[in-house]
Amino acid sequence: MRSLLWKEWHEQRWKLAFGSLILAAFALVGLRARVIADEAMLKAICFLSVLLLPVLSSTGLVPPERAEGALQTLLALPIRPSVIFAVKTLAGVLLCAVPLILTAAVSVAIAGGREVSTAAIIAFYAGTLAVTLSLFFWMFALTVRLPTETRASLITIGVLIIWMITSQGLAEGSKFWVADPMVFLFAIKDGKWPMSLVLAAGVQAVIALALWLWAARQLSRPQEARS
Amino acid sequence: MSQTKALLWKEWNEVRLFLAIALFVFLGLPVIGGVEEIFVGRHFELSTAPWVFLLGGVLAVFVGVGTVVRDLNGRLEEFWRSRPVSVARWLAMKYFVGLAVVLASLAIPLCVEVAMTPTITFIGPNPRLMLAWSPFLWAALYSLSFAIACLIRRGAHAAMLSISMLLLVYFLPRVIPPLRYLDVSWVIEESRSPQTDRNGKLLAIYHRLPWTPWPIHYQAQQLEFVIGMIALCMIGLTIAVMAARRNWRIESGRRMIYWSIGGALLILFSSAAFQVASNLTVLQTVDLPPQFSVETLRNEGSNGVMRGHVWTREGKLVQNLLHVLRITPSGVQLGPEVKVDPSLNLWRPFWNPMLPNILYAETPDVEAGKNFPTLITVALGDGVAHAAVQSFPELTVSNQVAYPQWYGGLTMIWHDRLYLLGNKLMTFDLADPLKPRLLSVEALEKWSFGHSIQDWMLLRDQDEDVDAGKISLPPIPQLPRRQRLEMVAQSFPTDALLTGDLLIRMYNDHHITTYHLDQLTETEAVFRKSGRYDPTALDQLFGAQVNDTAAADGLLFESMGNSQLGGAHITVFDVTGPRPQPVAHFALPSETRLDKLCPLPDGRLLAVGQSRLYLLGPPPGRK
Repeated sequence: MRSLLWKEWHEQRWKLAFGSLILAAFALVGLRARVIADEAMLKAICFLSVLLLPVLSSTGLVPPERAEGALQTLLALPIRPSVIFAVKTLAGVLLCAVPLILTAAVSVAIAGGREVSTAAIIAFYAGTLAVTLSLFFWMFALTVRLPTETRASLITIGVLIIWMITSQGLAEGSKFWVADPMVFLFAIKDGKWPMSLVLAAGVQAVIALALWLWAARQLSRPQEARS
Repeated sequence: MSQTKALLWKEWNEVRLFLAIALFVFLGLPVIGGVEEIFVGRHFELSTAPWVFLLGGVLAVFVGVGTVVRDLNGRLEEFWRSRPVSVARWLAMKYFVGLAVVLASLAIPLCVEVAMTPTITFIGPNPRLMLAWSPFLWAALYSLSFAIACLIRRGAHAAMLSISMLLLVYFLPRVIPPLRYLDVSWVIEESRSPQTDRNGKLLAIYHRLPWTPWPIHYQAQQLEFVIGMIALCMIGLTIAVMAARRNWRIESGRRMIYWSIGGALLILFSSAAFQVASNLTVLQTVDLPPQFSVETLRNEGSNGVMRGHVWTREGKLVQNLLHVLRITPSGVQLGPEVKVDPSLNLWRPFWNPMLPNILYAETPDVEAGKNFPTLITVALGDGVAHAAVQSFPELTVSNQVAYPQWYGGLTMIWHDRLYLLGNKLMTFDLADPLKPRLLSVEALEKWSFGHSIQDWMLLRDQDEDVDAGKISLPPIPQLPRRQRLEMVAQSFPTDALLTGDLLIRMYNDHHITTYHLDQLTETEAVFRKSGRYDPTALDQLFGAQVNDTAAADGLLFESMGNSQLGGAHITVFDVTGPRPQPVAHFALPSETRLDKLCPLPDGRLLAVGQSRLYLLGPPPGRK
């Protein structure tokens, strides 16, 4: 288990550094310079996080190893595939969470209580993290069987676009709004929380779990021969 | 066939696909759009410039990378090196054929548009100006992409790196002042509106551009753009030839791509962020009386008046309160509070800076069935309001009218006369300002304000702006045209503001359009579109409700409420040019809304929060 964690850390640490540096630097520069209102800057950072982090974290976990043949070696080791998958999931979750936590800390340190209250900033980043994780599970599940990172990137961008378009439709009062990963951002705007947000969080958790279980099964299934 | 011809033929054969695709995108699709316009009842209009402006650089990148990686990759490269042709010659052929394809692909659609559209539009990309200046930019982008492809030699990676470079070439000159002469938008804008003297004659610093068949003028600094772009071309070509000759190669991977794009964006963002710090500073806060709501705030720079209500906790009106404001460079002072009988309805007050200690109000009590004009005069002298009420029941408007046009709304004080315009014009003599004397009551005819389609389209349409529009002026010969326009402006909807010669409209989708006063005749004011601001995608996605607006001296102030993260904020736009843009903002987490915005002539702003009056500093660059 520790070896697996070390391996993922060794492979993914540059992405962690990249995500953290880019987002924290945007927050630092933007909130320090005050070119636009703090709220607008926070929304821009959130938007960038939602675009960047799920794609960055989900595409680099399984497809590159499949392309390089390392996954077959890994599965041949005396470790349960579910453990391998759990470690990869943990790495992906950390890739989403750590940059956002660092960026939230930078934002609160610079702009907490200045134009937006500290509690509102933390709540906003929590909502952004929830959206990011929700999208991560969708993208991770749908790319786990793909043979290359390039193809996985295309699929994740497709997932992102489809959910963005869908969430615009669902925001117009549809009863399926709780299934929308973006709900954690729009719910704050529409003043739907806290009860509706708890409901949405529950539904999203169930969806994420279902996707995760389905993807875990896909991981160890042998790849079909392709002509 | 000579060696050169053979190389040219080969390159043309390979690269012509780009030309075909580009012509389809930049010319074919706009033609289809133009044909569609005919079917929806308009005339055929070809508009290629926006597409070329938006995607021209991307095409240059794709062609630059595409021409190189096809041959400088793997075994094909070894084959070419084994041929009896020098690398420099072979690469130069490749470079110039690709460059010709880029320039032709982007210039042909613009030339067709110029040929089919003889009129020059003021707003949006202008094909003539783009043809004059943009080819230098496209050539520079193509050359740099060509060089990057020679160094990287992997198509996808080279394209991604070239796009990072494109971002820097496009936007770095915009955000770093010393580089602004390399900004294509700056060069085009300079030629779009060259400066003239008072007689409308071009200044001597401008000359006619020699390489365009139509008259386009430039000044010497604009040539720095041309020199800069040609220098980038030379640098790109030199690097490309050196890389191919000496077999230089940069091993690229995912990390390099991520870091280069992230780095380019960070450089741009940081450069932009540190150019302007635009938040407004709080110069002064004044506590308002408890349970007090401000209804009216007016000023003319050194004097002002604030009117409001005092309520009980149960929401019952207790008192009308008035304050005279003294405004100095160091701050705002509230004069002693002046209490007014709460039974007096000061719903539509008007205040004239020439008479700072008097407030007039005109309010018919329609609910009580008193559908006739009433003029209230309030003297704000020594802390106690002296109110005089004049009623005119003989001018009662029939209650049978579905929407009674009672008196009010439009008022003007001009040369000791008070004009009150409703369904009739009442004129008062203000020789004694505390005792207005009715001089005349006249019926106005042939005034269609609010009923004509022209007025409606310019002032009431909440979705679409117009190229030009008219506003009917009331036929009051005693008043100059300007005063009549200002009088009419009092009845504009809240999303239309008049400041000087500028009419500002705010639309449902949060875009802002400015109209410049083109003609002011006895009967109408003609406004022509002069600028437009479109909100960003983020603004559209998260856009908050506009609470209150105000405009003065080329600045538009918008107060936003129902903010997503709580608090209230104000955005300040500079609306003087063809591209209105946000120049400052102010936000407070402790207020739920800021309204009754009241700009001062020196750029400072008065805004009212829940229990405080804020005096905010002017935006950067304004005194």
